[in-house]
Amino acid sequence: MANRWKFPDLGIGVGLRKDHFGHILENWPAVDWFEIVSENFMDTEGRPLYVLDQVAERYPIVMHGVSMSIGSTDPVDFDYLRKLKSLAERVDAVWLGDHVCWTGVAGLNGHDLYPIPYNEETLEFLVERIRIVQDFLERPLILENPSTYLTFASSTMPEQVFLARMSENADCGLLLDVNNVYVTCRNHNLDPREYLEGIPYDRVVQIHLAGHTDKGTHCIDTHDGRVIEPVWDLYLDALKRAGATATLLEWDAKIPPFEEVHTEALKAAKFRNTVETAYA
Amino acid sequence: MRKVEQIERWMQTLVMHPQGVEIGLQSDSAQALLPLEKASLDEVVLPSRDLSALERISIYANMYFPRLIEVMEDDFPTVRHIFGPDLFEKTAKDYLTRHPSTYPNLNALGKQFPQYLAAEAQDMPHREFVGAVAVVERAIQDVFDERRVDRISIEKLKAIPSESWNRMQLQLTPALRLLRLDYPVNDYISAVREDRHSDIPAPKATHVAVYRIDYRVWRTDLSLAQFELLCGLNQALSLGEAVEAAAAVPGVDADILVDAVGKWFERWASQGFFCGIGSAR
Repeated sequence: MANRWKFPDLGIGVGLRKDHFGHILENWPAVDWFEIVSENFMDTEGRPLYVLDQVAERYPIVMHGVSMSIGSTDPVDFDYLRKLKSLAERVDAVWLGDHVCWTGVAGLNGHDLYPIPYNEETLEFLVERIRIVQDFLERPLILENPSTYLTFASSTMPEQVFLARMSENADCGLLLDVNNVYVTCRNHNLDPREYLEGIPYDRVVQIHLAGHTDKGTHCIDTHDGRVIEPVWDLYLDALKRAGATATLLEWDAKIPPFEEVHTEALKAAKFRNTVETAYA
Repeated sequence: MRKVEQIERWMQTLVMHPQGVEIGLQSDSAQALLPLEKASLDEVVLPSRDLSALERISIYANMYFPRLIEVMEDDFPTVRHIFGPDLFEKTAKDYLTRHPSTYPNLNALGKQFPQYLAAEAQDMPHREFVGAVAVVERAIQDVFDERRVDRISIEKLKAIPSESWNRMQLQLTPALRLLRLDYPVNDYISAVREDRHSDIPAPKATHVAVYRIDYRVWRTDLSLAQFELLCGLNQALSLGEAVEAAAAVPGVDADILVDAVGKWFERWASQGFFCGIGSAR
């Protein structure tokens, strides 16, 4: 199933992180594409932007932000959006997105992905904001399901239902993070298969993989290690539903050498091949 | 206020409270938004099979300060060295409580830290020295992120006829900070970075340039004359006016300044200090 915007299946990508700048500039590794954390390249014209300019000349770039705060009740930050749009034009971003969350309110930024209540009021408010942002950026937003650690009593629908209705009503895309599905379902004692069943796959443009930390009583989305088997299983399940989809491995803490990250990401090829063979 | 706005403001108050969620819950600001007690938290946040509502909110709160303090440690390694890890953590936490981030990224997180150390921080050893170190470490971050401009080469400077020099205006690159400090911090910062022992130095008027060449940030000490001359150029004085103004500053030897100015400009051009040439009317 191709996504409705016909965004391409870029293959298997890796996050562009400063720890790997030297390796990438020296070796130009055979990576299908890179994803950037948009804010790491905004408000700077130092070495990160210099590296990004060169990388963007050689690889497709996808922009994935952490501070759009689309779920915040603060006014839309058009100054931020102007910078985001300018960066997207500069690197010719294939698509750009962020998370279904808020990062701060009252002008502050907690630099974390905070959850929103999943109910009609939030849905209406969020859809309106997504439309405003998409109109300004002149492209669909690709929004990711976050890892969440709490549930609001005022939530009236499951996350996957909220995402499906949000993406339909706002006509935006989805980035399905299967590690976040695992973490969220563990934290809320939910069935991840049921979660995946509720996702509208014609809107899924990209899939994320990552490692997390299991604290026993809950899981934290730490991006600091390998992808565990149950998450690979969810990835295969998602691929069967979505078809071969651009896939990215996130590794943001305790970052090992580039080859190790890339090798872990390339494990996704086995699953992608299975799906491509079965559904070709 | 919409329900979702109320919830967001309330949750942020709890997550950012320096004494944790339980104390934050009792704070006036949280109570004004949602008058809840610990026992009635379930009205807003549901418990999980293993965690109470308070513990679930605390997951976010327990990540808030450590993550941002880690960024501060990266931005101010010498301040941290002087304080030690515990005092640095306590100070950074107090700073973040008084000056929470208002920016989309973390580049500007420590922007007000030098001013905070100078004016607000409590029980701080070596206050003036630490303040000077923080000014330099913040300047390093600012210069790292500054906008790119083409620099003026030595050859281009040398090609300017000598009779035009007095009226010439040289524009300083944005990726340059000229700092007037009360302590000789440059050597100390280098010692810490190179893992060498260094005592806290005695106060001494010092002038430092922080600048960037090919995306690497450098520091160099300046004499008073050099500093005043560059400050004059930064105020859009012509070269002749800047030399005259610097020579008039008490403590500057005018003869040395006039003799050395040519060499200084060669060095500064090689260090990428200049990005534009104009001519005063």
